[in-house]
Amino acid sequence: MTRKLGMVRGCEGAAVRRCVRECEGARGAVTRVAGALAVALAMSAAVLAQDKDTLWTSVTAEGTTIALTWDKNHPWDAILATNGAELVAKYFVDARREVTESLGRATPARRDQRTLRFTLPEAVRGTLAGPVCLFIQMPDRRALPIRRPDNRNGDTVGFRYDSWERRIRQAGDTRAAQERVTSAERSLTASARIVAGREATLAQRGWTGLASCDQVAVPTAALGPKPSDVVDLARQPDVARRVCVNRVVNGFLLISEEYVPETLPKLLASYAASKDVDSARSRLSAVYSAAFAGPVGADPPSLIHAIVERLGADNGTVRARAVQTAGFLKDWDTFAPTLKGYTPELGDPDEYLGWTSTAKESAFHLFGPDLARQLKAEWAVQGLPPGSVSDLESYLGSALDAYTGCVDDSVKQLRTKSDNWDALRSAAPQRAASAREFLVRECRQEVNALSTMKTERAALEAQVARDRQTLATVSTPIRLADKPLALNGVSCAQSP
Amino acid sequence: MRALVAVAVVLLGVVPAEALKFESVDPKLLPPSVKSALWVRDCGRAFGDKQCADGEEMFSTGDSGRLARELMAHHYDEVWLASGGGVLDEGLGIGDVLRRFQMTVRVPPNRECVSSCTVAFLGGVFRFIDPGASYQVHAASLFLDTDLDDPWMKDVLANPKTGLVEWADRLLVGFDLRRQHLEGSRESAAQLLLHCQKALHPLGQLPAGREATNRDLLQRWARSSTTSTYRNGPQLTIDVAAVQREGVVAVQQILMRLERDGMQQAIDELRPMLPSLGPRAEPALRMIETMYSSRITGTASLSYETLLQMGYITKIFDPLKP
Repeated sequence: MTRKLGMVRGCEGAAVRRCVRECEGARGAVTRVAGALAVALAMSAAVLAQDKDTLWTSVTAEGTTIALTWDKNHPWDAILATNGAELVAKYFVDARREVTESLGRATPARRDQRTLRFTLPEAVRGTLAGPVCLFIQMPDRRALPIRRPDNRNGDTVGFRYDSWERRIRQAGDTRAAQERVTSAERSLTASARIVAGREATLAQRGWTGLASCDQVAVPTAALGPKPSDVVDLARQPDVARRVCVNRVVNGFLLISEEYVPETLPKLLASYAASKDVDSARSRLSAVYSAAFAGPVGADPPSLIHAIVERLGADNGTVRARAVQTAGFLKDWDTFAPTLKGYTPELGDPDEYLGWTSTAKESAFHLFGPDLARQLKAEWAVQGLPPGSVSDLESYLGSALDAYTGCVDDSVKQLRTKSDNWDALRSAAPQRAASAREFLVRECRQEVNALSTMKTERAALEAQVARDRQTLATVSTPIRLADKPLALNGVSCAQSP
Repeated sequence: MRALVAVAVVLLGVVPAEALKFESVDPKLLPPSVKSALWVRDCGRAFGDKQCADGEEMFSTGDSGRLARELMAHHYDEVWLASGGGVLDEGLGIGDVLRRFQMTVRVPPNRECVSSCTVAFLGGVFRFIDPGASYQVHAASLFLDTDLDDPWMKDVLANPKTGLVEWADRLLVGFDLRRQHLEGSRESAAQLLLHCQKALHPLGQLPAGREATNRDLLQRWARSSTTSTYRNGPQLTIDVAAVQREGVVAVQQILMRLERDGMQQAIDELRPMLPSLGPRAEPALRMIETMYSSRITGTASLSYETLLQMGYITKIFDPLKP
């Protein structure tokens, strides 16, 4: 401890000299009580007399008590006897910061009017970064001089109590050591828990050491069975046709067996009551949302035959659409009888074939009025332009376009699905190998991480042991003075 | 009404679209590790909705902004999608929002994600289609709800050859209508390609600098001069005859086909550019081809294996279940 304490500000410079002069002036009075002083001196050789050197004061320490005694002729006798004084500590808590802390106030006991007894605390508020300088402060904040200045030492008020000082320093050290032990134990507990958890996870994966990483199996290619929508290339055109015929059939059944006989009459009845023509017409025209929707009960091939017959073999549309017509009729004959219990390879089982908005409108012009008549809802179609030969041609062309478009799109979609399935399957071994590489890398990383964690845990265990040893060492009690120890001569400006 | 339909490229499932609603998922439905989820769904009877407002009828303009505000205001572990689709741009917009918020997306069991919904889905950084759920793609179209009196259709009917050639070019490179630009197939392909490419990268992020580079490359390509190959091909003569015989119905059918043909032309033009577009541009282009493998009057339902192989969904690798 090389740091020197600064002088106590309450008694510096001129103020010190004034205090000392006042105290020295008490000499005559002290002479008068020499007898009594001699008795006191006789009580303990260790206690300095209240004399000129101590400015007629005596400061002693015993255990945790600091006692101040003064002569009855001490110039500040009345103040001290009446108001007592305060024991103050001054110390550094770091390189630059000095704190002043009151350790307690004392007033004279009734039976001993010239003695103040201060009880020292077990610890001070700050963490000591050097020695503790004690001094006694008067109620008016002046420091009480307890020794004369001399050439080597200008400190007249500060004093030190070494064993108590060491004890409070030890208390701080003990507290710090305890904190270190607690913190290290906490880290050790956390580390142990993490290591155990990581060990369990790795054991679950069979990753018990670096050697086990080389034994990681190649993951199976997680491909399920071939999906039903993946069809061999050669079969794709036929599958596409069957899917599309199924959609045409669905539309026909939906309208002729469900919507027209079941749903539509109820809706029209409700609209009839309110004469809601727009809603009624909208519901009627909805019949023609599906391609090939025509007169109720007319299945699509019959309808196509009828339209072709009505237009005549020389009609431009009939001629232009002849290949499409033949294709549709052939597909119908081929696939319509096969649809019982059929699950289509594309789309929902009940999906119907849609077509354009103008085709729907045109079909409504053609067949809507008859349907309205059948359902006694002529009021809903009044003013509707009648169907024309051109509408029939539009109908034929758009229905066949919808069908061939469906086949074309379905072929493309089946191709997309089979291509992706092939790609997924052919890349499976490569994916599995990549997955294994990943797992081996992961295994090594995890095993190494666990090893590092175990090393860290061992280091923490050693740290805890060291910290506990330190705690035991710093906790050994320091004995305080067991008989009055004079402190007037122990200045803060010198080592104790 | 017609104007509205005309300016929005619609992706709509054959199942009638219901509505788009945002609401918290019932905690009882959540998987064990998920604490909260937001429904982004159609309004409809399947969810017990008795009445649906107009704004909730499908992926509609403004939904992506609404979703961003919702995700800013509340934290959700996942976004659950169930919709028949709607406006394509909004599908892309919602996808961007999902990517920006790094959301996990899921189509839960027995629910469908169709059309625009599938485009939005790709914005999720982790994407799950649960068993029993379906994911259905199809082409986009300007002409889904066209009627027999449509003036555009009648213009083509009046002069089929000129009209069809004009439309083939418009549908390829885009056109302006009442101060609004309607994207052509090339612009749509450029947007979709970037969207799909991002979906195929971890956390939806391309390597540093790649997104800006690709955006620039694709924009320059989309704006470069081109004409449809249709004007000089034999199909034009066949189509003109069909229009003359079968009227507006044939016009609608042909224009929808031209939209898909325009997209195919765009895809064919993009293919040689793939090496310059960086990693995973090729599978991204395959996603667009798959989307356009079905016309808008139907859908292509993608199987689990296809979704996995093509990168639509993400799979969590579990070392305990090798």
